[in-house]
Amino acid sequence: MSALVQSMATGLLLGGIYAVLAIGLDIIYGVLDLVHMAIGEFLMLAMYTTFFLYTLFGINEFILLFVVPLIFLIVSIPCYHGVFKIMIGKPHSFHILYTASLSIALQSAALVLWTSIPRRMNIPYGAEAIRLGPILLNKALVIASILAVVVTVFTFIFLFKTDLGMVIRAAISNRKLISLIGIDPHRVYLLAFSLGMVLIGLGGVLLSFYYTVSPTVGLAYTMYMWVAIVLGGPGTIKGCLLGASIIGVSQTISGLYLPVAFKDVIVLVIFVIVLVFRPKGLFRK
Amino acid sequence: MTKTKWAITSRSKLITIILLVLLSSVFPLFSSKYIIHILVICWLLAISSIGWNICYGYTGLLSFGHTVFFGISAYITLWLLVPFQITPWIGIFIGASIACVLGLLITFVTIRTRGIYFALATFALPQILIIIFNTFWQVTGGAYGVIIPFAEENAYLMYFYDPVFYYYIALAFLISVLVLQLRLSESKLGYCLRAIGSDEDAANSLGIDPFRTRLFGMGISSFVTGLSGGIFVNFLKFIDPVQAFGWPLNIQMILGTVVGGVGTIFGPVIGVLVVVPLTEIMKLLIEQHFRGLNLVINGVILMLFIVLMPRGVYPWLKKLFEKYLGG
Amino acid sequence: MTKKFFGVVAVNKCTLNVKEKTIRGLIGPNGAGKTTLLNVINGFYIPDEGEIYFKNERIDGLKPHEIAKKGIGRTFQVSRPFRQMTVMDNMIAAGITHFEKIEELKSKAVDLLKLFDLYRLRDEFAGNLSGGQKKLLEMARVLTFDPDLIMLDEPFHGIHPAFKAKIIKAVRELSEEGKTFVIISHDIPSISETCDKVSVLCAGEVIAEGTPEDIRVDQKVCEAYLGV
Repeated sequence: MSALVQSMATGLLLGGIYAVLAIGLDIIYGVLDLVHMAIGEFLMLAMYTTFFLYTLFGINEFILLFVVPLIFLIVSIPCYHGVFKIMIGKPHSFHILYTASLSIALQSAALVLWTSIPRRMNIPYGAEAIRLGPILLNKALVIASILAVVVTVFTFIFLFKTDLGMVIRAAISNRKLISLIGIDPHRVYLLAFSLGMVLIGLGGVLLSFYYTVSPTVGLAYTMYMWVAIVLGGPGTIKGCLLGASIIGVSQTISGLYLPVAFKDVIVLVIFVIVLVFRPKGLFRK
Repeated sequence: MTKTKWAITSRSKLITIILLVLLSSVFPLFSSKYIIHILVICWLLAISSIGWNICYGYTGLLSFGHTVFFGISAYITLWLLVPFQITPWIGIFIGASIACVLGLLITFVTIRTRGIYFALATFALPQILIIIFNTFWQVTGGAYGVIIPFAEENAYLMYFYDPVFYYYIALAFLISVLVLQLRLSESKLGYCLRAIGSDEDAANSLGIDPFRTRLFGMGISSFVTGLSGGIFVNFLKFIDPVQAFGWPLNIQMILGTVVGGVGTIFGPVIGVLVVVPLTEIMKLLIEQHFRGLNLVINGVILMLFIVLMPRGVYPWLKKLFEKYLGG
Repeated sequence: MTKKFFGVVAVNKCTLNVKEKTIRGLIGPNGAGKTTLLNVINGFYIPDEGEIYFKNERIDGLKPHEIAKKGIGRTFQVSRPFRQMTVMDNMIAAGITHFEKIEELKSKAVDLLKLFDLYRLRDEFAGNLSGGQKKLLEMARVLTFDPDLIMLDEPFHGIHPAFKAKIIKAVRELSEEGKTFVIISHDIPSISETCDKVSVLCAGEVIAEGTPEDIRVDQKVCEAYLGV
């Protein structure tokens, strides 16, 4: 019994981190209507950045929480103009094929540059556990998860209490309206894209507390993020949280009863089942 | 003002096919084993691409899971062959039929999903199968794959050493599939498929049953893709889950059509003839110096193709022809 | 034929009887439920209450393509041609499930295209047509399978007066040949010119019915439109 509770707890902690990623993707999809299939690779890059800064330069992991997203923020601007802007207005099939090719390019580049050896941030407390009653939770994961919640709260505040945030929310609801209010839609797109990238950067740092990175992890995360969004219904933070939690929990619980490799299968099976019965996601927009 | 367009009529397409057949039939006489080997891959990939094209270019369903049809058919053909000595000449069709049943099942289940949700859902399927096949390795041979262990050549069992035999087999299947596509595009089903792919609701209101149409479309699409899987396993005499269901094959199948021309008949063939040699050349030129860089360049080139020629090479060529040969 | 229909929410216990071979206009302020009504008749929605009869046969609950086979056709408010197919292919696709011999279908398609002056565009991709041409194609297309009842959703919306005149002429001629029309429009002058009878829908209910002249002076209608 306690094993089940422990799994669920761990799953929820993971879900918290996944939620940050899902919200990032959700903003990009909601505002730019962009089906980004290479987002996992960007996450992978965030994790590698975190790893190298931590290992080679000894930068503290909490400081990295600011450094890496900042790097991503800066990088997001040329990235948007050079690579992503071209997708706006094109049909979804274009996005999928284009970003899928991009993901192959990035994945291969990572393979060339850093080889397939998995890398892990050697956090001193990474192997320690915190005891919460009958259950044991990984200390690094707990800390990362708490930070993830903080990030989510800040994002929430940004989206709901600031002017910029309101613009983004308005854009998610109705993109065409934005130009009618007199705001240049392209600036909104850039803002949303950068915000999404920042969140991915943050998520990358947080995931690095607990997971290893290698060039091929991108694909799985891309899947998780999209499943999270679709499960929860695109366009709501609530949905992202729900979707991310489902993914986290199903991963850990499946680890109890099924072979390790199956953790992805369960997520996918749930995904397919949900899509069949609720083609528009669990929460409609 | 009358415009003499070089009308691409059905007859002229048939003539083109015949010309291609003649050309490709004599080609092996002048080429090395290596090139023939590459071309066999091209023909098989083209067959898969045509299958995928029927699903996307006609029915409008963007599928990221077509490798499941390829892979299932490949494994079934293999399992019929190795323990039971059932000849692939029949086995391939059995494998493709099972792939077809799978395709129908998928259609039933996904009837209400559209657009990107369909793409995402089908994306999940091959991954699931890879994991299942890897896990139940006692049955499936697992990640190390299965080999066809015959010792000597045997035409009945489609076991040849020289790729030339597979060249002609693959070519024959490719021609048949092309003719099938040609007939399809002119047929009632072809119109229904394209209508559904264009605008399902409008088609519905005009009397076209989306469900039945999708079923037929997917059925044909999965069968065709399955055929190529069956031939493939006999050619390479080896299969493993990643090769059967994996991402590289998936993307090459899709890119064959996308680069060549979505919704056209010759598009997939042209696209494959562009993509495969390009990949090979990249591999030869670059891989020795910078391992893996060729894949990066591949990805970038593909991105460029998608941006610059979104409708594919074939429509672009068509426009070129019409400009210079027409009115 | 008689059509009785009760529906909830968007269309609230609405009853509509349309006589055969007439042209019925359906007007009403935005959000009155006109298009929803059409969608229910067409089979895209299922009514929560009530029945729909066509030629004394009950048709509610049938799928859109089955309803088309019964002889009901419709156009859409924003035209929906099959964009990647040529104009001619659009026509063929529209009729292909209704004809045994493709030659008959092709000649019918040619006739219709000529009627709407689209024949010269027959090899053009439908997506490249202008707005007005798309509307005409939409009408030509729905006539391919010779439906007895044709429902037009905003056929006059946003097109050149010359096209408008063509559509009105076609509707009149076809009505004389025995077809029944239901036309939704905001274009009151065109409605008055074309229709025998007009029904006014407001907030999901029919608030008035009569000849165009009757409707123009009806007080309830003025209230509905002007809020006065």
